[in-house]
Amino acid sequence: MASRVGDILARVPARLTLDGTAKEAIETARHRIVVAGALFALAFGVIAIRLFDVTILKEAQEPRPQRVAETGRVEMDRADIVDRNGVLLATSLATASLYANPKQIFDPQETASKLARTLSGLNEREIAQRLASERSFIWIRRNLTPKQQDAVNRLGLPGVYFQREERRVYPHGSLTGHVVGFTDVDNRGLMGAEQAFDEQLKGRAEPLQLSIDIRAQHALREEVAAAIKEFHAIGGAALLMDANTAEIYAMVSLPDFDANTPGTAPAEARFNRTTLGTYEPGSAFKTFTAAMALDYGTGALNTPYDATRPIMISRFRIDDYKPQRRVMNMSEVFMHSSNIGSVRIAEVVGRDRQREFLGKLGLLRTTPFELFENTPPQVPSPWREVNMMTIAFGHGISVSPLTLATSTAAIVNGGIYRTPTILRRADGERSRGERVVSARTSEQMRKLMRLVVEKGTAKNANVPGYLVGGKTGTAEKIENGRYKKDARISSFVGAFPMNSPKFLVYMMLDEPKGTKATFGYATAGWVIAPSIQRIVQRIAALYGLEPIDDQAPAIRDQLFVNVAVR
Amino acid sequence: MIRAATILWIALAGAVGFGLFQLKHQVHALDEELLRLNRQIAAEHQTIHVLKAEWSYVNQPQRLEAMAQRHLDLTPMKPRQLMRIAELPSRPAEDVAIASPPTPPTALPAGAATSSAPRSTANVRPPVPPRPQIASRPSVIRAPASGFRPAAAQPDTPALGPR
Repeated sequence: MASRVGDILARVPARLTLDGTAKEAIETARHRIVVAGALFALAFGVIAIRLFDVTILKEAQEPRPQRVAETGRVEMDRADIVDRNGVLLATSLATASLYANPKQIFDPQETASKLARTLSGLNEREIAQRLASERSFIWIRRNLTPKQQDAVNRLGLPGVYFQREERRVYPHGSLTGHVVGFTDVDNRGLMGAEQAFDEQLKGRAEPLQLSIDIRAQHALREEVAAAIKEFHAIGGAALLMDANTAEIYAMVSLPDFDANTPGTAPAEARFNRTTLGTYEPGSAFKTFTAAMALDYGTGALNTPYDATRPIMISRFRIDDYKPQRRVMNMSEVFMHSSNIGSVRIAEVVGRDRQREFLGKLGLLRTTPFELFENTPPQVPSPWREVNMMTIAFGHGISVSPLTLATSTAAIVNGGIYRTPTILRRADGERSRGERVVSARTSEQMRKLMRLVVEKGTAKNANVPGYLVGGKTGTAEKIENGRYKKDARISSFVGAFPMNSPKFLVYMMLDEPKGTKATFGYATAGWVIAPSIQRIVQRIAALYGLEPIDDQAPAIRDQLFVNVAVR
Repeated sequence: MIRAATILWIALAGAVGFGLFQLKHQVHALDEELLRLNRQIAAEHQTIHVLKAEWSYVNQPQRLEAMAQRHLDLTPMKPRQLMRIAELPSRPAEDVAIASPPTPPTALPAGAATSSAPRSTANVRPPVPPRPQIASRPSVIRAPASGFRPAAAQPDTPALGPR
């Protein structure tokens, strides 16, 4: 290298060849070359290290296009709702919503007319006005169908865009209208489970499982609808509850509405009679009167009560629907649904203890429940002597069907009050509950309720093999503070199988009218009991309940009541 | 000599460069493929989601009930048709001894439906026509009633829904 440099220098014109300085210059150049080379080496070294770092070490951190196949489920903003067997009750489907940016639209009139021609039901003038406004965002139509989206896309309009949205869909429509509820266009729950569990449904992956069983729900709805039609009632309701866990299997309120189009339903159809309506329970309340006497020990099944004469108090005259005019024991009072007898039973217990007992059973407060559609009972205040008497046979107090059913469940299930729920409990799981009556009282009440179906007012509800028990109730409706003679609420609350109740069943009709087949009667024994019979027949096998031989000695011993004491 | 080495290095560098390019190209193609497949999977998931909603819709109990009434010979089951095996009368001895099989199995004897093991006397009987299979809950079977047809003995499967 040095020699070449020498050659070059040698070729340089002579006037620049300076012996001592030439050598010095060569030395300087060499130094510079070394420095420059070192700098380059350093730079390349840094690049090499960086390259190694980026390609080999940092690989995991770099946002690469997905390296693995997707296995996840569809991401939705709102979780599904399913019934206790996993049947889909509510889900979110992706849809496209049409919006426009008026600032980017040159000809509002033409855009509006094109859109109006493509999307039916769009008000052309209104859209044109809004498109001409100064805003930068207006909704044109939410939740288009794929066909509509395609058609709008084909128009190729500038300034018009789609936004991906989710829309709640209820495959079972009106069958679950009141229970599942519905949401508004922005997917906020407005009713039923959608409202009650709004927060939980937002941003969770796994579906929300209700305790509702769609099969039972259907059976109840169909029977209530058939009864409404047969007896020309203005409405009806039914409840099926697990007597031991207080899970609600079915909850029907008719008339109902399709949750997919809640806006078109009249307010009356959206009214949930089972939880929002309060009704005078009538004789169905006598269950509590009898349980009260048994639990306080003021009476036994064979204690006689004088029902020979109607009771006159202030302006009321309390008489029986079918007067027997004799002394009856408690079993007979219950079986014949005697008002006079019930008053006598309550009198012995006393006013204060009656109030205390009903309070303990949860009949004087709003029943704790998940749905927002809930209502407190209407309770007299002050609680006078006359209130004590009328409440003994279920008048002068109004409770919701849910409240009545929950408290009756406590009476028949061994005496434990559990708050009702529409969420499915794990098998065998029970809330702690609260003892409200003794196990012995519960056992005696089961006998009495079985007696009513076997020999009393609800014979039409009997299903051989399933030991149905319960109590009918017929109350005249109150309008402007007066009882209406021909407008009734007929109801039945009961349980089955009565030797060890599994289900509590409730049904009511609003203003049923008697028919020829019922000899003009619109009382619960005629209009409700046959439906209860069909309901029990339809659902008992669904849950694997085996028919029981009602004449078997063990069963007779368990449920037999000796009524023949005259 | 120097020249040969240079050519070798140039050739090597060229080969590596080409190989790298090929590899990169392949990776790119695979990435594209993966992306396409992922999009397809997402679309399929979406479709499944919609179909699930539709499945629930077409399984509305009221619809199933109407269809069953129209197309099937089934009637709602009565509690009387349910019985425990223990409640069934045991098969009378002469029934086994008499060697005349029921020609078409229109009404099977009660014992025929039990799941008990074949008896030792079974081999003296002539061949029996195939029995309708009754395989549901082992503890509860239907008792034959008059006019009872084996086809109706099949308990409702859950898919049929409540009747």
